Amino acid sequence: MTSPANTSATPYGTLPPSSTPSTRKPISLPRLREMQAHGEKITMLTAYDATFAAVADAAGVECILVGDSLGMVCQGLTSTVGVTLETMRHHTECVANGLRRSQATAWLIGDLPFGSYHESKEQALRSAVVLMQAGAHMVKLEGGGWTAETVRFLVERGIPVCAHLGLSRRPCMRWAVTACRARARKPPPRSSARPTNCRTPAPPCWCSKWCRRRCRRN
Amino acid sequence: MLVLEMVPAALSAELTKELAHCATIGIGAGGGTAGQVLVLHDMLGMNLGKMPKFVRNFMEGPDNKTASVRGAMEAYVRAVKDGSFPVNATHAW
Repeated sequence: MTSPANTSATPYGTLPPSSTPSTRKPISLPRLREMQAHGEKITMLTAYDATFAAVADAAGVECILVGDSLGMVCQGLTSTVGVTLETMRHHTECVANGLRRSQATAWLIGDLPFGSYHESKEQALRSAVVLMQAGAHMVKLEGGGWTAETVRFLVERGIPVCAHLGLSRRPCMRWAVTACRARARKPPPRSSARPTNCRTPAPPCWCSKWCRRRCRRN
Repeated sequence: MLVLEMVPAALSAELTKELAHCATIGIGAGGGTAGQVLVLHDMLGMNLGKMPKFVRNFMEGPDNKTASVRGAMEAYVRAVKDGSFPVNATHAW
């Protein structure tokens, strides 16, 4: 077992030495793809600061999400609407620092907060660059079919993107006005369950439209 | 990558099958997805309100022998890898 040279005790807590998965290589997109192909489950946890991120990395968690849920968890807000890009940048940087001081093997995903990608795909690119420069390996954004063009724009420019479908914690989103409920409960007709054109970097568009339609009926 | 949040288990399993080139990560979406995500504070039981149905407190239980945060995370990783979390009947719709 080797311990990273820069792991050191601090007066207020010690970041963990490399231990359990010490031989783990840094998680990459090809590795995640390989895991999916082999049916190995991918584990992800949220983290908002250096210590929790480092412990999660040492515990063998593959992906760490700096979620905009930090609005509720860290800032005491009632939804994620009040979370700004600057807050996300700060916490992404904290988590990235924590990972660098432990094994730095986890895949780090930063949430693009409300309003940071809604205006245009160019705005989304600028916001994504802020999170990538803070240490994120991938950005995540919420929304339905309208985000497809943005996702494609970012992916083409080398920014890995994680899309999101289902419940939104942003109450202003029309299809999430109802409380915390499961989304799209009714099974789709067989014909619409078959995406015909999802080889693009933005496959979710077909079903998000479908989800929204279903949810309005609820 | 695509996060499916509180999407019914049957639908998320079907999506996972259809999107072979895109890893689906579920939260409250059943065990049929390529991966799982939980909010850290929820799975550590740091929640004074109503715990969402899809969360398991990994600080408790025999799996977390050291009763530590790291033990809880390791128990979570083990449970997801071996398919014992989530249970479709209790943690999904």
